Amino acid sequence: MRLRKGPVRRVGPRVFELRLSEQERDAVRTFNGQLRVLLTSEDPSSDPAVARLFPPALAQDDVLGNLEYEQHHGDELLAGRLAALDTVDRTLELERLNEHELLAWLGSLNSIRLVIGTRLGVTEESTADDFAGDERNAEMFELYGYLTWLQGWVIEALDEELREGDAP
Amino acid sequence: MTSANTAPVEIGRPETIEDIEADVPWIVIVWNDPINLMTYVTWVFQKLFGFTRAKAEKLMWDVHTKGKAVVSNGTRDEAERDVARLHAYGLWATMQKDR
Repeated sequence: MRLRKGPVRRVGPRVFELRLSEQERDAVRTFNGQLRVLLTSEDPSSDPAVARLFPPALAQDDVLGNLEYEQHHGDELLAGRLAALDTVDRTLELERLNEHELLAWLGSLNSIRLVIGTRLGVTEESTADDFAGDERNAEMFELYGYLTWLQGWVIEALDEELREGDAP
Repeated sequence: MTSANTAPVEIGRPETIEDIEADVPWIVIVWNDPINLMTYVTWVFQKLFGFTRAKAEKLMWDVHTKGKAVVSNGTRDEAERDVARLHAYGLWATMQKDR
C-alpha cells in the first residue's frame, strides 16, 4: 500500500522517474563534489571516513594480503566510484533515469552516507538528540537523514525492477 | 559504483606453498555496520549473487542480528572477486579460509 508518492519510482522496464526539487538536486551536487575531492585527494589510510569505502579484504593483521588486495582492486574500486559520481553529475537535472543511471545514484548516495556516517560515528540507535549539542554535526545528521530517506526510495524503485524486470 | 555485471578480473597471482597446501575453500563474510540500510543489503545480495528474496533477507537478518553472515565460498580468487564486488557496493566484507 502506498500512501504517498516518493521522489523516485519505476515507471517502466528499466525506466525511473526522479522528482526532486532544485534544492535537493543542489544538495546532491554539493555532496557529490565533496566526495570527488575526498576520493581524488585523500590517502584513504589517512582518513577513516574514506578508508570505510576501501575496507581490508583479509584479517587486519594480514598486512601483505591486504596490500595485495589493494593492488588488485583499489584502482577499480576508485574508478567505479568516480564513474558513478560522473553519471550522477551528468543526470542531476533529469527527471527520467535509466537503470544504469539510477544505479550510479544508488552507489553515490551510499558512498556519501558511508563517509558522513563514519565521520559522525552514527550507530543503529543514533537520533538527532545525539548530535544536538554541535550545530555543524546536527546539520550533518539532518542531511544524512535526508540522504537515507532518498536512498530508501531509490532502493524501493530498483527492488521493483528486480521483482518485475524479468516478468513476461 | 561498478556494475553488478563487471567481468571477473584476471589475477596473475603467484601460487604460494600456502595455496597449494590443500583444497581449503575460502569463505566470504559480510559484517554488520550501522550505516548500510537493511533493504539495501537485501537488494545487493539478490543483485550480486542472484539469491531469492527469502535467502537474501535471511542472510541480511543474520548480518543484522548475529553481526555477520557467510554469503559465498570458493577458491581464493573467487572469494577475492566477490569481496571486491561487495566493497564496490559499500558493504563490509572480508574473506578467510574455511576452517
